[in-house]
Amino acid sequence: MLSVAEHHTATSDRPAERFDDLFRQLYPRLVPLADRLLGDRAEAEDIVQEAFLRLARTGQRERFDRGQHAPDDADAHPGAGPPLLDRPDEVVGAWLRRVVLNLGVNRLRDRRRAAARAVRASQLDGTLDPERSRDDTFSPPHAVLRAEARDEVRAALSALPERQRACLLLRHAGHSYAEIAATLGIAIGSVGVYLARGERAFRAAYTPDNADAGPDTPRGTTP
Amino acid sequence: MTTICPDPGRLRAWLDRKGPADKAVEAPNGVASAALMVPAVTAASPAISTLDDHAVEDHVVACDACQQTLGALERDADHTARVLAAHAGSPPTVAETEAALSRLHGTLADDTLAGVMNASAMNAGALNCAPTGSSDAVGAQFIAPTHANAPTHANAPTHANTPAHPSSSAGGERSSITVLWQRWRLPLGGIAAALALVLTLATPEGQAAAAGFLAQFRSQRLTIVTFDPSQARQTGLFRFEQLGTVKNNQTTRPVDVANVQEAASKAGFPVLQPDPATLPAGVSRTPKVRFSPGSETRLTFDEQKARAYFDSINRKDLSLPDKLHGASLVVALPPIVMLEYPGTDNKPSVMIGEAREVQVGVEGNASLEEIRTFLLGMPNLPPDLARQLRSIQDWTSTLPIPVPIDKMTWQETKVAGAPGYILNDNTGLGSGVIWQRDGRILGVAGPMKATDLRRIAESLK
Repeated sequence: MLSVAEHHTATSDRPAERFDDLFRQLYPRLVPLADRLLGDRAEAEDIVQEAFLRLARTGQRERFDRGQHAPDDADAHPGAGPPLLDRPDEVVGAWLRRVVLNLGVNRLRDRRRAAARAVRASQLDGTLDPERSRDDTFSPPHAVLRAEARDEVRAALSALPERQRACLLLRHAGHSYAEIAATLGIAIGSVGVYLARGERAFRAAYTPDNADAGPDTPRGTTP
Repeated sequence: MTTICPDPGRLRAWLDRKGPADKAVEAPNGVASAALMVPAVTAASPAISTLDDHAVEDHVVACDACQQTLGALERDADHTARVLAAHAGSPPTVAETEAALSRLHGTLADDTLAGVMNASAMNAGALNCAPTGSSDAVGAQFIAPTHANAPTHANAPTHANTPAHPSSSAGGERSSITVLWQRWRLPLGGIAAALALVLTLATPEGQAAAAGFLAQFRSQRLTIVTFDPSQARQTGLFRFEQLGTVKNNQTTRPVDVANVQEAASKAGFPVLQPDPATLPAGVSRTPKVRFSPGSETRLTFDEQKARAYFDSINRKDLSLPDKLHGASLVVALPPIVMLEYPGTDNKPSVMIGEAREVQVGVEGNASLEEIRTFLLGMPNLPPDLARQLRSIQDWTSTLPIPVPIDKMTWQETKVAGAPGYILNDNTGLGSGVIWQRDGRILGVAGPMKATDLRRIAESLK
């Protein structure tokens, strides 16, 4: 059986190394993005893995089609041009961010999985981090409150228009305006507009009173 | 100083850029990631250049209204940053990232293995998932649609296998099929996956073998059942070839035919075509026509094979009911006609598929309910999926369409009055509409909005 790396190197110049480099570069930035959307670290890691899985499979498909078909799969990469993995990092990064956001939103919309997540989160909250388990604020009753607050945040995010939500999440996960614009296919000058509207709408949907119901976390400290 | 107040969006961007010197918010993880952090906005973004910043700053200093707006923007941003940061953990460490990369490699390696297992089945005709006659391939194929890799059934299996056969003629055919299948993975993938579940649901009444095939299941309507791919990946779902012998009466590769009339003649039903006016601009009005003949797949239960399988999964408490031994479940896959409307690049842009209804029958002595109960009680069937399947009241006429819960979204719709479903790849890159009408299953797919696809679908005549 050929390994993934061998699959890539069979038809292209060290794409396996490029894939791994991209993973190391982008995974630490995508997980916080997904985490802010889902409020669940395990789920966040899961969908980022799924996004990279799709990227790898896309690479395999494109390399297979090469020579027999010009790259024509709009599902694999937008527009005409070289295979996705052969494109600049910022293009691949934008594609991955888009996939992560879509996967995340889809999960949020699924009520059954959301319910399962809430249960799992409440069960795991106190055990994931040993430091947390020693903290009274992570006692089971507080964990329930945290889970409820997290769900309220998710509900507020879900209520935002798609682009406002995406801008808000990307920005607050540390992505630049240029990255946001590339991800959403909008002018860089529009990012501030969507961001301002999104933040205003989010504040209206998730009021300070509601926010205070969650852990009252000073800025710059670990919640 | 400019006399015109900057709009809030420009002020918001300015707020971000002026942040690091005096406003940067340190996120819990130590990475400046909150709203007021200033990203690297460079001269590549002339619309919001440093020059503009100075002009904005000069204006804001002297403008009470803008200062108020700025204050509100800052409060909104600060609130958002605080709330989101409070519910988010630290970014992955280097060690965690490496561990995640390792897990990903493991998953992809599993894909490769699955690809080898499924490749021969795909060769035989991915379009309608017609098995090859090899029991292993058939088994793998029937597993695949409801397996963890269901939505990428056309991706991973075929492509994972490609390096081994990059230049074979079969590979060329497979590539063509792959592209086709990839385009069709929404509606037709649903049909193909449904066939797997039909196999599990179709429940033959006792019949003498001499009576031959008698349809006990005839698809007259569709329904969605969801499953969790991660759970399916663990369980492997069904292993039909482990329960008996699977045979197919013929291999059914899709073939190009000259025109719609020839396809209709071969399929035995008139082929519906869309109103050309509903097709997107730039899409050819003349379709490429493909035809896949129907086929018949037969699963004959075998007590010894089932015993070996149950033993292999440490379920010695399970066994094949006596009545099922020697009984055959027969799935009649219908002929399928595909119309591919190429875009300006001469590649498929709009795909329309039409098929007769799926039929399932039985040969043998087992009763309908006995086989159904047995298959729905298989240990590898996730409980939630089993519950959904059991809850289908009119299961002798309802074709379940399995949808991986984290990969596709769906919603009910009506197409020209007939109930159906809109399926969306959740990357937002493609849509499909599938419905059943007048004894046939129809699907339209393409990289466009669902509303546009439905317009095409409703114009079929």
